[in-house]
Amino acid sequence: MGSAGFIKEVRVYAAVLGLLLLLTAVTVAMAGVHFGSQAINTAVALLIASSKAALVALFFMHLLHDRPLNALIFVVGLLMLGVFLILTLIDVDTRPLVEPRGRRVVVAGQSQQP
Amino acid sequence: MSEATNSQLADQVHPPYLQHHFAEPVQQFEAAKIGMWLFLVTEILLFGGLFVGFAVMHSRYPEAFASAHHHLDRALGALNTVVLLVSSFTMALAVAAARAGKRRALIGCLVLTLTLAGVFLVVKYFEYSHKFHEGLLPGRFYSYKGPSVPGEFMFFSFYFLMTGLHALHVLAGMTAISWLIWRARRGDFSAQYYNPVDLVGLYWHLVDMIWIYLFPLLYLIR
Repeated sequence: MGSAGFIKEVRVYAAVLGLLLLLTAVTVAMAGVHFGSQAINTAVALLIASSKAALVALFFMHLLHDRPLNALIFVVGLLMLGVFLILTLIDVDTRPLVEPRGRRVVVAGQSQQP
Repeated sequence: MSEATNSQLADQVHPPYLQHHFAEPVQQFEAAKIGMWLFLVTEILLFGGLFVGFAVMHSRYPEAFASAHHHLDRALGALNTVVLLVSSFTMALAVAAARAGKRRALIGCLVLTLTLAGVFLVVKYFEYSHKFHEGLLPGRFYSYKGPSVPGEFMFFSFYFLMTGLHALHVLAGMTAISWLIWRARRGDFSAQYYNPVDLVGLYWHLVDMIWIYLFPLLYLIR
């Protein structure tokens, strides 16, 4: 690849960086806005973070132009993390239904039953 | 044919950087990249475990986490985000320079990336010293004297573990980049062979990606 290809690549990376910085500004600004519930704030923040991560993966890490196997490895890794997260939250968040006597409250090393 | 021409031919057919268990340089490069991607997935799962723990504890003690996170300086966090994003950019430039055979641009971009990584750690140092000073420490070391919600120490356990582990990864990345600078100055890389630059680049982008998620989760959401 000669100089012309290099400059073209630099332009693409600069555009991606611009987008990343813009999204960072947006996510900081959004944090100050109060949507309906906390869940929406979290969802918005994670959506923006995922867009930034996708930009880094596709362009800086060359996934867009590489062989698909690399992207497959990455995506499967993310899916496994998703399974881990979702099943754990399902387990933990439905425990009150199974343990009607309430939660233990842990305060600075001591644990007390409420 | 003279000896010089013979060895040149040999170098073209079997370049010195081609390892013996690979048939061609391209195959070696692609195999190395797959190996690096597999390693990156293990890193995602490593931090993923901490993220899942954070999610569980955050959903269990929302008031404690909401109150605790106000102690974090959003401006410093945003600054660090920008620093790492730019360092990812300079790293991508370094790989592009290597691919184009531009040795001085490669070294320059690697040095820039290394410097920005150092800036990140310096900002983190200031953040950590402020917390040590205030007693905002993990687990049983928590000794903050101001108003707080019971259970805030747990937020700081996650904060220090996650950002600490991330900082260790930044340090490891800085070591790898320093090694690349040393090798590049020695003339080890060319437009035909720049595998290590590409692979360290992939690792560095992952370190950036992890911070892209750490920043909103720790600093921004309530």
